[in-house]
Amino acid sequence: MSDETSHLPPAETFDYKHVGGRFIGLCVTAVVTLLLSLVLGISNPQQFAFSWLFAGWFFVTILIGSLFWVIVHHATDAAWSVGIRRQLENISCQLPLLALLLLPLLLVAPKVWTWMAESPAHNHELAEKAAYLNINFFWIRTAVYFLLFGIVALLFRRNSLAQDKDGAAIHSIRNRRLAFFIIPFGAIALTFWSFDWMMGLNIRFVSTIFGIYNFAGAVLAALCVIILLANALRSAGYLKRVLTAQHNFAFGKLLLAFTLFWGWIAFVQYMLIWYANIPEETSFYVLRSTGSWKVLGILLVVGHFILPFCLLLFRGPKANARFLGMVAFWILAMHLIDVYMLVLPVLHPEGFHPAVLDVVSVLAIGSTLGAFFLKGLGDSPLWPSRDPRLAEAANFND
Amino acid sequence: MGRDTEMSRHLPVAGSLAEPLHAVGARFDTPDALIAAVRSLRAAGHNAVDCYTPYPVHGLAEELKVPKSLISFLVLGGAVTAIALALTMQLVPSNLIYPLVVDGKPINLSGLPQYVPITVALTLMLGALAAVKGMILLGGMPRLNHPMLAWDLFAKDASRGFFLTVSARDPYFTVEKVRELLELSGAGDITAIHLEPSDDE
Repeated sequence: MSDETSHLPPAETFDYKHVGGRFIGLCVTAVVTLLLSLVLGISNPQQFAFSWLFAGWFFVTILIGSLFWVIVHHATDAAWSVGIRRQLENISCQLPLLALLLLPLLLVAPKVWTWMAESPAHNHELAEKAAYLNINFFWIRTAVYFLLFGIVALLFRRNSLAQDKDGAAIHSIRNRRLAFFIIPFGAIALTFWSFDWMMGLNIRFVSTIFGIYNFAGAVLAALCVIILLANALRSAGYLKRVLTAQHNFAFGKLLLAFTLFWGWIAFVQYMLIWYANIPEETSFYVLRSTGSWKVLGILLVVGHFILPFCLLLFRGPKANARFLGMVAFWILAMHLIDVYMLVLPVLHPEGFHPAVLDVVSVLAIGSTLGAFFLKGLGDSPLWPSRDPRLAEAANFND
Repeated sequence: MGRDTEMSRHLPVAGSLAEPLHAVGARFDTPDALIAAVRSLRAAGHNAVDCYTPYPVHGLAEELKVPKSLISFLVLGGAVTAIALALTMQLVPSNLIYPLVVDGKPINLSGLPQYVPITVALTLMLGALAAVKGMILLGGMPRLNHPMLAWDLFAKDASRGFFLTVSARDPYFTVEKVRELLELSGAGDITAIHLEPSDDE
């Protein structure tokens, strides 16, 4: 329509006056909960190991999911998501910090991945898998996952920041090449990461779709986080020029699409294992559908799939930022329970057994990541201010 | 109609003057001009305005106040029918007509997972069919001719501009008034589009 380049929204930088006390609050929460988990962890290292892995994996999925959205943005040369890309970059660049926060797992690993404490000489199953499932290779792989995703996330952000300075299109092209490079390796890495960390909790259980299941949850969770973050920034008066009502509708459609994706993958995994009825595989679901775990399992089916599906089916509410924010918050809570159901039933096979450490771990890792995120938020413009597709993004019409 | 036919003699004519007037058509060079014209016509009370553009113009549907399409209800109807159909076709034979336990799986609703893939597939299929067929039927297809095709400029290359018509069935329609409004909005090629004589007469 009209000349779009003349309407480039001027860059905005975050002003710390909008966080003020909340930032201090986050820092205090982080310090208190980190100390508390240290104290509680020393008194009950096994519970600590499982809780810390649960909280850690929850945030791993969010960070990797954000990286996925950056990759998709570049690989498809998308325009609509330019306005939120910097925040996705900011979130995914917390990976090195998260690696640091997860270092305690090195100490308690044999308590959570019990195969580490066993000797292949005495465990035939472990001996058969020893070529892959041995302690050294496990930690090398874990290091590779963090290095691969961490370096790629930092490179995306570095190119993006360089473009803010000179506005050259070459940075977009470099990022696109990087996206093409990481797609196959990232897919393999995330699959094996979830095999190692989640499936490794019970080395007898195998499911080839398990990596995709975790991927589906990760992408959905990251989408929820970015919707909530976009709402928060807009209510503080930012991003209004680059994120319009049309973007809400796009968010709503993606949220519905990935809710369906998660639901379908979750169902397919269940259905195939249920139908084949092989003890190695069914043990996973038998554990999670007996006793009080069954209640949480049903809550996941209804709350993670059926309810959001029905809420997001209709066109009108999908374009409403407030409504989307509420649904996103709900799905994020369901994702937390989803990860909880992956980890904690292994520790408490007798039934749902809430522990203070579960809550403290999520708060400790979450508030630390949140505090560092807020601290870095003002360091760069809130969106890639000289991206070639910025005008297109600001005038995005769905 | 007689008076309109009289008035439309002052305009270029498409179709046959012996037949009733279908609409007054106009061509615009830009989508912005088209939207402005729609706005002024609607402000003057003309609701039977229709547009023909080479590509979807954002904001045009809002100006034309096109009501929400029935498609989503058709798709929902197709999907719900499919769910009922698929579950009936699986549960009735396997529970009532010829109960057959395979692999120890329950055959009633507690064996729901085995019935889901077919239900999902049929839901997708009937939903998609309802969407495609609904789109075709609600769009007035199939039809062999359209009054607009009497207008050579439009029929030969509909992509050469942004076309607008005001139907003669509009309650406020007079050729003179519509023409004046169109001219004020900078329209080109204002044409009186008459119907064509049908072949079977």
